[in-house]
Amino acid sequence: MRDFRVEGGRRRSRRKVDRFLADKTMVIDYKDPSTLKYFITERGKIVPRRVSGLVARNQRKITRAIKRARMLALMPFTTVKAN
Amino acid sequence: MSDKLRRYELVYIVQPEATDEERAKVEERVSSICERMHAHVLKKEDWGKRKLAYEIKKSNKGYYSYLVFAAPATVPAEIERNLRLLDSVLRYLTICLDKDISLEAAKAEIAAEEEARAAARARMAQMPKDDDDDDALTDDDPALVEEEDDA
Repeated sequence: MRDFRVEGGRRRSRRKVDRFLADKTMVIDYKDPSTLKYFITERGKIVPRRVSGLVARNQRKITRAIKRARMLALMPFTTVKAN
Repeated sequence: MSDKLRRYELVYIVQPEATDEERAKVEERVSSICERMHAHVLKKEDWGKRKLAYEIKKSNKGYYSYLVFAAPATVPAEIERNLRLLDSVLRYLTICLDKDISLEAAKAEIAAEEEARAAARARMAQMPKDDDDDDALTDDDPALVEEEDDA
């Protein structure tokens, strides 16, 4: 998918960093869609932990925040219009 | 005074066609309940008219209001019941921030949060493209770009 380097015939993923641990000033808040948008795909799906690189606790927080933001129409449930 | 207060935050969205009076009426309704039920409003914000991420009741925009209050646990249910009755309210969301908090502690919390948020915002403004400084790393999906450290 991304950042795979072939090494000895095996795919190795790059080391991931939890952005919220890297930058302590960043907070997870459902009222702040500009931060949350990094953790959804173009379709509006929540990015899985193996891709987002977040620590489990932060992934849970992000998930909760995104779901709350969706309820308030700050973020989309989906970007594909239902016809 | 008892220490058995909880700190809540409430966001509600009023439909875009609502007149100023209608919006004032909603606000008035909430604050009168707060007064009647011994809740203390700690913070009030008006986010203004915003675009909704998706359509709600045929509306694509809405007026957002935000408030934080310290109150006994019975208050949010009463507020939500009233918001439900008001046709101009599209959505509301109440979230409990702290349990068993004293009014003083709740006020202190607000101040600390304000500070943290201001700091975060200042930082964000400083480097909005924080995660894109590694040019060698281009990705098809910008949502998946993450910070890198392989120097």
